[in-house]
Amino acid sequence: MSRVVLSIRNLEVNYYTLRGIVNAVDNLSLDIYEGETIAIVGESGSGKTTLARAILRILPSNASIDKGSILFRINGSKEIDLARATEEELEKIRGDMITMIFQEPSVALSPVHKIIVQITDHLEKKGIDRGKLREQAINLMKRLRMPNPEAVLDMYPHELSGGMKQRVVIASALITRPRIIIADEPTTALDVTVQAQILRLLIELKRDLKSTVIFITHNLAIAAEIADRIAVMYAGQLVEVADKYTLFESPQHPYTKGLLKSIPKPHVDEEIEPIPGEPPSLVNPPKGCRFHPRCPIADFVCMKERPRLERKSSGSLVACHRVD
Amino acid sequence: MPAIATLDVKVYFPIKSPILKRTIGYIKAVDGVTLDISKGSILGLVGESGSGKTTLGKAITGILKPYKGHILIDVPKEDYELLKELSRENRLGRQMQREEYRRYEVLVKRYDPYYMSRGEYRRIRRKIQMVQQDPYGSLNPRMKIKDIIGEPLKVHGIARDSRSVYERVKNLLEDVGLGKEFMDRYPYELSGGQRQRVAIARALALDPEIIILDEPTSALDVSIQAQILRLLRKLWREHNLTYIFITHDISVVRYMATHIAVLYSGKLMEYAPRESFFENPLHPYTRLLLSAVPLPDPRRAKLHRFSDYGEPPNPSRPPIGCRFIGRCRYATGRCGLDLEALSPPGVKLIDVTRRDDGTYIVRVKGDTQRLLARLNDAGEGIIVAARRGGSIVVKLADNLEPEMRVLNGDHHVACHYAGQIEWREEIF
Repeated sequence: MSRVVLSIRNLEVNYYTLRGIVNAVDNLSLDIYEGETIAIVGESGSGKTTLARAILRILPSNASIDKGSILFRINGSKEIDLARATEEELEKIRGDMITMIFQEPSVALSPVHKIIVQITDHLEKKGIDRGKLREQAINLMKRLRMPNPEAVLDMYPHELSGGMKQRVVIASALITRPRIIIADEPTTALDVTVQAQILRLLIELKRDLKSTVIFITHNLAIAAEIADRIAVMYAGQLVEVADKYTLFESPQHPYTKGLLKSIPKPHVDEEIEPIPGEPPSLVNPPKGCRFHPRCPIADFVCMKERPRLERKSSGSLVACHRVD
Repeated sequence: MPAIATLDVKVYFPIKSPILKRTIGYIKAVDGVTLDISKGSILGLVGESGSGKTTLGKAITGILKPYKGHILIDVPKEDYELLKELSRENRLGRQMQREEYRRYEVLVKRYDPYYMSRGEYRRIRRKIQMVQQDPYGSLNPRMKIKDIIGEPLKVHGIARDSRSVYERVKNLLEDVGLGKEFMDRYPYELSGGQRQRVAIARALALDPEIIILDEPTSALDVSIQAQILRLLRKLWREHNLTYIFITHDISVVRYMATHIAVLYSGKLMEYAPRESFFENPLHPYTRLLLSAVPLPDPRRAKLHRFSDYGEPPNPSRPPIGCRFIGRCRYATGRCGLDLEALSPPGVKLIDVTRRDDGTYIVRVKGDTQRLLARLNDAGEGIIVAARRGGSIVVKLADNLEPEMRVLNGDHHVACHYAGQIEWREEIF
């Protein structure tokens, strides 16, 4: 296996709100390997977006990383802990080495700047020649199969459709050839036919750039399509990590199993089985395993002791007392 | 007998000029949809954003009034067939005879609630309820759950005294899987799934026959979505309901629907029973849609073979003829004309209007000559294109727009080449 590019250790992120402390990410450890695409899958409130934002340290002001480290290998021997890095150090990493593609393209783009500025602004500040940048932008837009790329560069976001805007967002994230691309539900706002195009382009470009992709999604089908590995989050904790084939073919954690049974399938007729109950509040999460109130196989250990994420006989990493 | 039927329904939204507020064009959200939903079935209405599925749902509920066409309730099959035939011939340009027009009018007035008396209208409208997509916006935040569900009971005078309202609300909550402890809560105290259950209970309060569900689960997480879908199925069986289920999610439709209708750019493209729809989709657009859906099975990854097919047309200047022409890999010159795609750079289309003689007036800004040259090369669909003042007049071949045809018993499809195409892509 290739080397670890990002190593998250015992990460804890809390939001300080009027209703209390929301423990959004709880003691999470995960290694991300150079060149892989890892999908972080979870429902709303599972902490997947908080995790993504913690890596880039772009959390809202009421959130803080209270424990743990996020080690990013900059090159051969140099490592930096993003959880503790200064703003200055982060500035060199954000947008250059690690970039993020957001969910809502109309929010990610500035309405008053031309497309060319949005794509190249970051590099222009570093003193790269404008003509050269324009050429690079056009090439990238062509790779993204943007119709009429040269004209588009001089347009404003409101003149573009949703799919075209998301291509611009991707172009502006990829023009720096980042080592890690964090994509936070980049196609949720798009129609399926446009989504299919965008996912395909993203994966092709990622392969060319040899980047690592962390793909945040609630959609298991998208994870099956684009990821190498899948990490499943529930209520702020990682419950299962496996390569995608293992995860779909022999899911281990009861939550993963429940999730797979609760999605209707577009290509076969199958009954669905919902997971009973609702996800817990993270102000006062259940003791022990956070899934135990909804779990069909929970016993008394599960109510008391928090399961550790460990390698089980199937080869997957699973956080469950009841799985061998 | 169809529970509800639509007859060439068009819902247009006017585009007003900025200063004088004159109508300068229309957004054709729904542009001539004819379909019928038989009693006890679940119609899955699918389409991408802007396809007109929600607008059509609102027209059926009566929230929006069609610009043209009719919503018909409890129309017997033979009367509906006759109306369809008359309206079809009219659309093809043949004037109705006086006698025919009279019959048309009499029938329409009999079944379209719009022409009914106030009392009758209220009685009919009670039978049709709607559940909205957003469970956060659709419940009044200042009302308790018991009042939200009880309100329609009082308005329609079904349960007058508070005792019977209480009993009825309690039963309705039970029906949707909520205990009576929810009665005195406010919407903000409820999760998304619970709110959607309340919205469903409110829709059930008046004992409706038809419920229009507009993306009822798309704001919910998958584990909650599964609960709501199962609940909707159970209620459908127990209350003998008819559903119109509006969604963009193909897998939800496969799970829920008995019949599926595909809308694209305001037009009905395909309409078929579920099995036939998934086994043998006949419209190129349906195939594109299905081939774009990712599958929850890594052994069947397929998006790497998905090609770029562009995006839906501008709703104020859709193509003439088949709406899908600009993205269809099987289209020929006979299928229609996509002026937007034909326009050379530097030419801006202002609008396209159809005149009664069947010709089109195309108003453009910029280099008219170049567009004209392109039009005259565009192939068999265009008979003449000529300049008139600042506009271009285009005469097109007849019947560019594909008629809805019925194949294999009950499979409706609007494509000139339906049943003859050798498919070049796999869908699943």
